[in-house]
Amino acid sequence: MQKGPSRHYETTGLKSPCCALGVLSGIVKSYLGKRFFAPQSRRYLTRNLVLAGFCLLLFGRQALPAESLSEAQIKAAYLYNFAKFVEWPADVLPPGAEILLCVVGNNVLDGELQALDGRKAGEHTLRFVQRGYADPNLNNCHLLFLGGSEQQRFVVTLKALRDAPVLTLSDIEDFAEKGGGISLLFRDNKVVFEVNLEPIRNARLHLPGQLLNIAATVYGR
Amino acid sequence: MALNFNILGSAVADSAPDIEDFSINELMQMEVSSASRKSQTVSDTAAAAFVISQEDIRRSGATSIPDALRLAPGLEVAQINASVWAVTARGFNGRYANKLLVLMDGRTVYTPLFSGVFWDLQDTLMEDIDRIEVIRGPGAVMWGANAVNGVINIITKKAKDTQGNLFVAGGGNQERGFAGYRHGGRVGDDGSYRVYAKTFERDTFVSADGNRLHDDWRSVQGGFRIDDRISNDSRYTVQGDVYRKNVGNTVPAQTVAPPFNTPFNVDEHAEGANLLARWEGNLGDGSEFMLQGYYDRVNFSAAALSDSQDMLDIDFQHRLHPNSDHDLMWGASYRFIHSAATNSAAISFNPNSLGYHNGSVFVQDDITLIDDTLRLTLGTKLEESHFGNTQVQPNARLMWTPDPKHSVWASVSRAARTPSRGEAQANIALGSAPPPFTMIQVMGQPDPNLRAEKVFAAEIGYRTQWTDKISTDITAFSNHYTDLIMFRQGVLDLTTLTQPMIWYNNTREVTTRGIEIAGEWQALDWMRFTGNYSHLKIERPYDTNNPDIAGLSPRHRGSLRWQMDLPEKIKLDLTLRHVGKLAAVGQEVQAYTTFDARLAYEPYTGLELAVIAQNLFSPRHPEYRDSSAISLPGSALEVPRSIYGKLSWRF
Repeated sequence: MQKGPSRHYETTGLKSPCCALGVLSGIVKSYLGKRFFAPQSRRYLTRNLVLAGFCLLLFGRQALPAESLSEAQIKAAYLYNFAKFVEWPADVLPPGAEILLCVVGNNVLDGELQALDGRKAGEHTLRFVQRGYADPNLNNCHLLFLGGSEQQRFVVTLKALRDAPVLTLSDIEDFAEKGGGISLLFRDNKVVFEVNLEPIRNARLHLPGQLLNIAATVYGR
Repeated sequence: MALNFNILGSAVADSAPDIEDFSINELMQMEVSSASRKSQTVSDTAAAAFVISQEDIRRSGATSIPDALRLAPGLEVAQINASVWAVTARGFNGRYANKLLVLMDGRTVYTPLFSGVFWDLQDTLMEDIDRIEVIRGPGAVMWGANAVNGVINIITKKAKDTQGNLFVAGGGNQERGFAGYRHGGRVGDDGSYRVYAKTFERDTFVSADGNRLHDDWRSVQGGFRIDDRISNDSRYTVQGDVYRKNVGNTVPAQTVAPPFNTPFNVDEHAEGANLLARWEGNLGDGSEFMLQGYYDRVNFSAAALSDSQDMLDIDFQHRLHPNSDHDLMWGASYRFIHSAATNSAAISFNPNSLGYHNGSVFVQDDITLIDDTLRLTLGTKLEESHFGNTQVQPNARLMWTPDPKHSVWASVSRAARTPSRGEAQANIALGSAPPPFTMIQVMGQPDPNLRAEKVFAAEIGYRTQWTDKISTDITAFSNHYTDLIMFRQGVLDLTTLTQPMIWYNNTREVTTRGIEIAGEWQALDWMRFTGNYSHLKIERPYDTNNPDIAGLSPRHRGSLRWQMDLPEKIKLDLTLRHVGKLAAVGQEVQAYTTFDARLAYEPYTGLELAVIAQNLFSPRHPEYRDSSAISLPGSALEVPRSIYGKLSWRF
């Protein structure tokens, strides 16, 4: 393999990060030698189609937005809002009664739902309960959140609920599509929600219309 | 928009924000810093699994699927020329690496001729990829044939997640120019669709002396996807693609007539189309089924081989829960393959046109032994193939999760790779013998009675979340291969000056062992480090007929990514990558270290400008030499340093 004059430097097999400076000066040198990039092939007369000239941006010194919520916290906050807005039939949730928030799954939302225990949602108090997926008493819950670990068997859980007055929620991808009530999905760095009206109607629950207007998708209208 | 700032203002300064304070409108606007988002969970899988997300792909600046695969720990990705890659896991890499199964939205993408993947044909709009799941180690039970060393599952977004319009365009010194457009909309009450088109032109690679060669690459592709929902219990998907590729190639001398040993340049073409339909549903007892069928056609016209392949595949799966501790799955699949080749001096198939059937059935039970703590998976697959014998591929996996932060898993499995049509029916000109015997032509010759290659694999893994910020994933494996399909030297034919190299099942066992480590450190809310390292050791006596087999994978590989979300909607990604040397007789490639950088700026929501510079440490470096199975001097193409700019606009 001959080394032509165009071969300015070779850094393959770089031994230590201390070479970084040498590499940088090598890059500069080879750039000055006009061979930083390989020569263009002559097959096309068209020059580079688009090579937008990006100026070097001087980074400002401002700090990033201070405290923001984690994905799990945002999902828990959504659930808290739904607990405020959804209306249960009076025989299921008499005035002043507690809203039973049941959670099924392993390490659901990094434990953020537990933090909702004892909080007021409207005139009701939220009560957190961890349940097993095969628990026969899931239909006593008002809210039922199925964690990601339930992906393979949530359809069984949903079918077992039949039309019990439970609002089911989950962050499993196709939860609402397959008959769950509300799914919380991560899209483009934001959390959005989907609603399936069919199980919600069958469970005799009522969601305010504004909520449906801002949902990413509403199934079963 | 204003809400976004109000919520930040309303949070109490020095305590965690109270989630009671946010309205749904505010929550919808709230962005999760992408650098702060944990990798998608694979903690539930008793296998060496890794997920490359759309965000990872975008931030890496990868413009093709194989380049995106470099993000996964344990995968070996080496670029041979502008349009050809060698990709595998856990050893035996090569242009036609045949121990890896690759799926795109449930469609198996491989060429039945060589069981390898033509990576230049596998494409889609990069922005439409939802994630790429990479499973190292045998995955035959669930996935299918050739899943000996791993499975790559490329999953595109659902049509409902690609609504509106997207336009991307850009160019640079290697990426001569590219553009893509996608439009998505709604059909019916609950359905949605998208259509896309993309095109690109990539420049050639360079030779060791810095001159451009002839491997430039152009592509035009389009496609669609429809997802519709009939009821809670029934959904369907229909999708398809059509494409045309133009690939420049330098064909080495394979002629026994003048002009001797003179390589010549040609443009090769490939056209293809595929159509897939999938129906998924739930039954009354909560069990779920999936029925899928697809048709895939590819037409090649190349100097060495012109052929057309048709593949029809039907797949059924049923998942049921006989009681609360069992998650039982079974399925069956059938495939019809027809390939018709135009024989040339380089490759000839006998017969040149063949249609054949493959079929398989599998069953797998996922048993919960202790709730949320101990799980056992048992499964097996029975595979019947036109080439080779019927294969039983059993698998057992155990997963122990003492607490949500730690999980330990172990697995033993047997998997098989059935012989390809090329190995059973093709005569392949491998070039001329090494000097001074260049007048002798070396011919690869088939063996119709080949048996399948088998592997017995044992794996163990440990995943842990040390703190909120630091997590690691370690896997160790030991693979024992028998009946590997290799060459043996035949008797030199002095009348035609032909040296036959005949495929056969090697009787010697080959053992590979390795460790794969991946780690993640969330240093700050807006800064993340991810790194991985893989070590691979192949234990095998030297074999003069197949000298490359042991040397085609590097012993050490590692990478380090540094991701930052800077103020003013600027994102900076820096990637350092090291690959150890390839030390085989015909395949000497030096170790290399490369450095990629990406700077992106989002002046308005939906509009992103990015500059990506790749392979910055040296003007060019080789990653892999395109030699055939025996040691012949392959054409030595090197990856040049490159830069490109990209605009993407969502509207």
